[in-house]
Amino acid sequence: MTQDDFFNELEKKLHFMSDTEKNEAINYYKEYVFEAEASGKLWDEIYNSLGSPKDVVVIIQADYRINKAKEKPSLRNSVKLLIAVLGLCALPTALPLAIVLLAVIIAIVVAIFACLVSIGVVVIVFFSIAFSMISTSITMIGTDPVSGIGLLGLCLIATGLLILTGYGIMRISSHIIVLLANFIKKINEGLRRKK
Amino acid sequence: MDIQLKKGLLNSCVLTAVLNEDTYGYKITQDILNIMDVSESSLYPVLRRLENLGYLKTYSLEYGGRLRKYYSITPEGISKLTESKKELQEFKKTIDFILGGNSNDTR
Repeated sequence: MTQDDFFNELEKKLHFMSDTEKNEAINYYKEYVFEAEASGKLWDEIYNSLGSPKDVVVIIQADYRINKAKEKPSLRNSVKLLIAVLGLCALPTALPLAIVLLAVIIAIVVAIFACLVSIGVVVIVFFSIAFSMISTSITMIGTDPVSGIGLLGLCLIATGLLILTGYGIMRISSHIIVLLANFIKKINEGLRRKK
Repeated sequence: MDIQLKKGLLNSCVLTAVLNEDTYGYKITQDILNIMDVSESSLYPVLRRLENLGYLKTYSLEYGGRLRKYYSITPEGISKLTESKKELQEFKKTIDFILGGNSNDTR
């Protein structure tokens, strides 16, 4: 990667910063490279020790997000911080186990939530089937009363069970949302305390 | 090393590096690389953070036909460093206890 490519890519990847902050960062690294060259280092050497633009950005971004989350501890900033921290996990530098664990926990919560949503969708589909079956069974009562009433009974039982399941899923989901929100709040507080 | 501990030490290292004379990013980084295992690109956020906290201030001077950004420690930075040094002095006792004992015993 040439020096121009490096700085072009760095600029592109720093899109989350304001123009002033971006220029400040780029000027810092430009000056850094200039000084390194002045001390007799070759660009390849400098590039190897600085890392790729992606590595540089990940380091800047993690710090940037922590500051933003501290300035304004909103859910949005916390989620952005979390994403930046997850980006840091991809770096070869050693990372405390806690952060990795945290990522795993969140992945599990998201997976459970996705399962609940898909069960919910299935319930809704069955619900509409049961509903159409009810109207079919009512028209059937005219022609074949015994099987019509039998089918109607079965459909009503099924509808009842589906309503119960749907209610259960809603309760579990709201619990998980509360848990998740508390969890994110805790991370945020932890970071603020650490200063 | 514990990441919080490293962050705190890195802050103190940077403040110490600019304590005696105003200096610039590349020089600070090289000084710190000599004594601590950090990646070369990770000093920028540290310098920016210390500047935002008011512990460092910056100015530009021409050097070799280019502007060089110099960092200088503020009175707040000096008192912060003094405070950290006191904490480290306490901490040193603990470290000496762990690392100390019989110096010939390298097991």
